[in-house]
Amino acid sequence: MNITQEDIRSRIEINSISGNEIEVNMGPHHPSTHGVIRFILHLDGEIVVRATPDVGYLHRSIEKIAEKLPYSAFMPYTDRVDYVAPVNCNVGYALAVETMGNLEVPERATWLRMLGMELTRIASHLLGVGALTVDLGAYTPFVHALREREYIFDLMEILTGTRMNNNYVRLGGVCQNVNDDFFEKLSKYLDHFVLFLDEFERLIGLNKIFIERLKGIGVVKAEEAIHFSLSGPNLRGSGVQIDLRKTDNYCFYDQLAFDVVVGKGKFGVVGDSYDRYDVRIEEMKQSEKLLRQILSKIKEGEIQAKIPKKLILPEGELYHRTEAPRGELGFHIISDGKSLTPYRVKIRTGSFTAMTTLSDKLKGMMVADVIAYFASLDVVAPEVDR
Amino acid sequence: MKYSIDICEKLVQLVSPVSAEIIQRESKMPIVKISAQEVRKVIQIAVSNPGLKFNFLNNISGTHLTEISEEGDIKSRGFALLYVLSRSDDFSSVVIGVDLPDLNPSVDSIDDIFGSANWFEREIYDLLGVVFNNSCDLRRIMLPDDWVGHPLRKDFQEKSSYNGIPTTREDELAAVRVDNL
Repeated sequence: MNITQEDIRSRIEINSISGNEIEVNMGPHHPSTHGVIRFILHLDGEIVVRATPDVGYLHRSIEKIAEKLPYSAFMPYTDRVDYVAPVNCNVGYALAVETMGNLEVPERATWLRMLGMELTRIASHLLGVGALTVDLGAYTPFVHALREREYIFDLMEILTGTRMNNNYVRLGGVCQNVNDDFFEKLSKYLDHFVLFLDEFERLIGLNKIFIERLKGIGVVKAEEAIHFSLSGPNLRGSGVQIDLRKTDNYCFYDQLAFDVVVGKGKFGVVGDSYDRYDVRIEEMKQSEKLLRQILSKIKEGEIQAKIPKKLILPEGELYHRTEAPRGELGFHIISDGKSLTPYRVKIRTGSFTAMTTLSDKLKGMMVADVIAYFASLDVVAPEVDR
Repeated sequence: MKYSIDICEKLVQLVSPVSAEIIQRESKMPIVKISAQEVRKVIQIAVSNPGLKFNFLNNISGTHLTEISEEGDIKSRGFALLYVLSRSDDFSSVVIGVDLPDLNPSVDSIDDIFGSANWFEREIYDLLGVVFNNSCDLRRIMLPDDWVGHPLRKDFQEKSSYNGIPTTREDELAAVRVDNL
């Protein structure tokens, strides 16, 4: 007999489980909370009756710091918004300021930014799926994914000068140029990466236990995903075909061909945890395609535009969003038109809205599935708290 | 980003051309400015009107508005909230702005319309002290429950200690700095 989460939920409503509720603290320091996030779980046996997520342990006042710093000096802090995908955060912020101040960016700089973004997206998804497997008890695939991420860090080191927290982007350009040697290395790496993804799929993606742990677990239907403002791979995992790289047309994504991957319910239902895993795997393949196209299109040229040393943006406000690996990354910037610092910067992140689904979705789940569902959302704690 | 002035005008027509107006008309992001009492009504129209269908909440952000006098004193002018809504098919967006008074700023909650709104509102309540009426769960989200004050307000003064823990520390390097030797 199959008992679904819906059945259990209806039994919770009428208090027909044993009624012996205990309160369990999961986190803040729990290996599967991907940073510092705490859940207060009310359990009846193994079943979650009520779940309250508690965040804020990694709140670093980044928005307040932004109000004290000149526009260009805030760039290194954007690395730390989502430290798994720093370049995407850099570009998100830079584009917001550049759009507001009508600053030009040289063509090569934009291509280099896209190169950095797609490489980072792959690295970030590798960590995402790797952490998902290790949370379910499969250690080996995690190590394989991290090994690949190290190779990408080697490339990032050539491209940006640092392996993590790259601080690569400058307002109006990027910090350093690369020579053709790098492009050759990258192209060689991509040949290897395709083989790796195939291997990874055989290693874990098609593993029976792995599939059983994820299929049909934590199903988020399309309308629920929209209701909870899920974004990025989590939204697409629910079958909603939205990718800001397509809809918002920033950088040169309109010149490149790629598919928007959506969840298809490969083994279970559309929007289950396996779909979110699958979307990330497929998205890495798309990023690989994008990187090859970028390599064929990138030309010699300037990498930094002249921007005023003392940059003052015109009075007004703008909400600018980009597609980061964890979904919509929006920067809402307000300028008073006379000072060197922004009046207000609000950062909207994909992990923040992914967290809002938890107290509803965890109800009626087994504790082990809580971890599977949460890991499949690929939440990164610093991005929730900022 | 796709912000269209036509959609803003349509929304203004549907709401009320008297009380709603479009600001930042010439900029990249026109904003439909409405009065604080109308927030729920306007957002419900934006969500459910067949010609609009903005059923995705991207963001809610709050700002403390201030004026700095010639003497350098900070004078509060109230608060501003900004709602960004999108369509779930083509992701074109509309932006709705609200101004709130300085004293007891409050606005109706929209957490029954959008599941994600509650956390956005909790963050604004926590960091700016704007109260959302009829909210299902209005608690602090980032800061501890016993925190006093709202740090994103421009006139926020940090206390020297929190629960006996000093928030500043002595300058340990002061003794070895060249200008102090």
